[in-house]
Amino acid sequence: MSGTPKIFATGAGVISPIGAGVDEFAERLYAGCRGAGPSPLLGGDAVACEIRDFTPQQWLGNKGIRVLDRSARLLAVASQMTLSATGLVQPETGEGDPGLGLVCGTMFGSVHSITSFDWSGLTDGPRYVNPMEFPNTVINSPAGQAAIKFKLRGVNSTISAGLISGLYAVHYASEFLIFGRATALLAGGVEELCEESYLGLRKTEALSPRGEGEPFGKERDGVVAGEAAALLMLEAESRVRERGVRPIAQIAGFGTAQDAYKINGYRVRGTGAREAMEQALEAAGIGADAVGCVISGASGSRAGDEMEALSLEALFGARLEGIPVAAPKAAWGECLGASGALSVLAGVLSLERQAVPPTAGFRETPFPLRLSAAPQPFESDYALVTACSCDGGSAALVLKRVR
Amino acid sequence: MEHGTVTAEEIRDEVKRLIAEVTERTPEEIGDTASFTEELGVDSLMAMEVMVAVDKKWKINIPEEEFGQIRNVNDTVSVVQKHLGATA
Amino acid sequence: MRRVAITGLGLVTPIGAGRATFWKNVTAGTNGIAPVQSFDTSEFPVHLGAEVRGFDPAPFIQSRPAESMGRGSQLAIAAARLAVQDSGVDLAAYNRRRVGVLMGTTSGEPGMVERYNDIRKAEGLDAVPGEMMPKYPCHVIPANVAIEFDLRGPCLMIPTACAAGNYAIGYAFDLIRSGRADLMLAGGADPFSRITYMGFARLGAIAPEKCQPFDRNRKGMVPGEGAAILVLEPLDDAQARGATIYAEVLGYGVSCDSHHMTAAHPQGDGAIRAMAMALDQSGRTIEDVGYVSAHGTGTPTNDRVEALALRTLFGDRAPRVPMSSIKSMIGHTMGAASAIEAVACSMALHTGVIPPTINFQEPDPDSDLDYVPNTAREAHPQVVLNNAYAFGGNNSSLCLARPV
Repeated sequence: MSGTPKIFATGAGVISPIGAGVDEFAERLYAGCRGAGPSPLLGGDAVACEIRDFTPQQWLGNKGIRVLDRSARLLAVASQMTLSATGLVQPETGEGDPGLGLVCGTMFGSVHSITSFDWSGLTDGPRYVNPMEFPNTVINSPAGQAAIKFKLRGVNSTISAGLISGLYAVHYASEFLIFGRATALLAGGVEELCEESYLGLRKTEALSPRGEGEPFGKERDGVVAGEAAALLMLEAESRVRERGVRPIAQIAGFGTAQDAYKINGYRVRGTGAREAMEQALEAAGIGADAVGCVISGASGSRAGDEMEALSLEALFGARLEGIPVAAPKAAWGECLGASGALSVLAGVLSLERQAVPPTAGFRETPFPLRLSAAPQPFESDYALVTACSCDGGSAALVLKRVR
Repeated sequence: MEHGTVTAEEIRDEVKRLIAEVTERTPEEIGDTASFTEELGVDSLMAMEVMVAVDKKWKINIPEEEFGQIRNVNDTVSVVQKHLGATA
Repeated sequence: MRRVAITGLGLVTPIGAGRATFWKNVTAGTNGIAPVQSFDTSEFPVHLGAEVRGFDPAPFIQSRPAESMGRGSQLAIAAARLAVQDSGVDLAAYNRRRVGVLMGTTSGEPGMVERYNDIRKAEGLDAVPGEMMPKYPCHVIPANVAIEFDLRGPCLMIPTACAAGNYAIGYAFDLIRSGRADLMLAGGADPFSRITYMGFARLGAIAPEKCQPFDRNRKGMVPGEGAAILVLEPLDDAQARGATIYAEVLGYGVSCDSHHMTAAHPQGDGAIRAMAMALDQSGRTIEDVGYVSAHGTGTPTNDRVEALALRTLFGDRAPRVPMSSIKSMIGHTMGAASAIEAVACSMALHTGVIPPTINFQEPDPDSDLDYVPNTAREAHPQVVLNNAYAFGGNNSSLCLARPV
């Protein structure tokens, strides 16, 4: 795609089970911290990667929080951080930049709000449902609420593609910038922990009974449910120059493919994941030999991790054992629609530090992958970020280092 | 709910609590005659939230047209009293 | 950049399934609104809905039993099968990695949430079956379409509520013109839901007797359901295979009011910017536009603001641009609405006839434009705009043209 404008990330914001804000997140990620533990939110003996003692007022002030559900609060916090980091907080007075928008990935979206709203109708009767809760039932509600709160007048899109939603959102936003429909876009994802999605994961035996996600591990037995919001600010090269800001990475290429198999099961021998990776490399204009590290979406899922390992083997061949791989869901759990955005952020940090983060708690893997419970150094300008979803969708994104 | 025993002051306190909640103020900041829309920033969705909460609390049914005429706390207290009287 | 053609139209609506039936009924001014049958409305102050009555998904779904998926997916697959048939395209001739599906929705599969709560109420949470919640996230709708037709390329849901169909068609257009895909099924789906109904009823937004967009006495919208899928492919490919080209996609625009979750910006700020961006991206001007498919829900505010937006952008030309709302007939089909309306726009370009706004009795002095009252009109538009607005202050306008 010669002649296509280059797209850069110019800042980020994150709130996650291992920390809030890019600095704290990075420090704890590289220290091998893990977010799993008892979940006050889910109650009982549930183990999850919960954002404990979440106090949005810390970032958002005391006003305007009441009507936001948990997802909207998480996304608003990540938005506030990203806008502050990039100097794009819109002035209190005036209308706001019509080219500033938001693209948010999510999977279960507003499931808790819509279930609660329906439940109040069932128990109190339709007359007594709270009208203020109705807007929260739509899947794009967190994005819409963030737009109102931060004067984001440009495209306001929500992207749902299961576990690849966050990666897809970054790509979709990049394309909007390339097609000239926006000048600066917040892009990433959000997912909240809630009893509804947790019940689904638990009853389909997707969760690790031990409450320990061991991505790519020999003893892996499922995922730990997580929650997070992560955003990057994306801007085209010309605008980056104009504003005189220093980008943190380039979004260099993206690929996606579908195995069209089941809505809740991996096709272990499917070729979609490998082809998504190949497309991403091609779009970035590089070969597999240029890739310095892999930030994997592996989560501890028995079938999903195997599929991803097989795909990486097929792509890199014998070279795979020399490439540092990190599976950071060991730290933040399975954050569903937010996962991809967290992984992109981990990729950005990896390029900056020239070291991938640890795969926390890593012990042993049956796959020919270079994983470690400690950070692994490398020398390269390119990171490959992968995501494979339980509905057959796969995606990959190539990040390029900015020197 | 024993409708007959609800005093105007109890209604006033509850209405102020509700308005305070939707406008993110303290009940003390809500004046009896302060305009909901102009002084307190109550929009149509917030107003409807208060109406539903009032209906639910006292098991009454204030028609939307009647609620639309309400401008402040004093108006609300009168309307609630009228409907409580009708159901008592 | 490649030019992009619309070559297949498939839909399931309250006034019939399939392009031909829908078009016959929508141009005849057929009313699809009636008292709700799928749940009890006795506790509601209103009772009208626009349901797809007697829909049997089984004949459309070959890969799995129809009952294994939610109604949103069933409607989507039915629309997709009708669209593929209508296009005459041979899917087997394609590299499957370059064929994909893009959908829009407001609620996805809300039926799963309703069942979850029904079981929870009757038997407790432990009785909720495990496989139910994984069928809820809205991306399962395009995933189910992909499985049904073995589509291995881009597969995505863009749940931007009632503007979503336009978002999906627009992004499918982006994928084809930039060479990332060779064939896309794009559209929207939303099943009828007691949750949506309850919400709009509580907001006092549902019309008690009829849906009459832009009429002076309009009293609200009517929730509906349906699905529409459009087949998009490169114009060159369509011509080479001798396909019927209903319309060409020229471009689209999107914006956010950043004003209020449920209420439109009072001056129509976002609506104006979305239309202007659509025209700009399409290399067209207001002078070219021969028809506007309105969002036109029938609520007092939406219609006033939409008319104001048209008047602001089109100036003196506004009263001479026909703008109709087929929601007067099929209600507001939520995430499917702008996809169904994109089908109507494509057919308007293809046949030269524009569908009417029915139930139009008395002009609104505040918003007196040409709403194509009650009777379809032969107008031969060359360029049309398809407007759709949504909760969250989302606005979208899709620009289509008669292929030349």
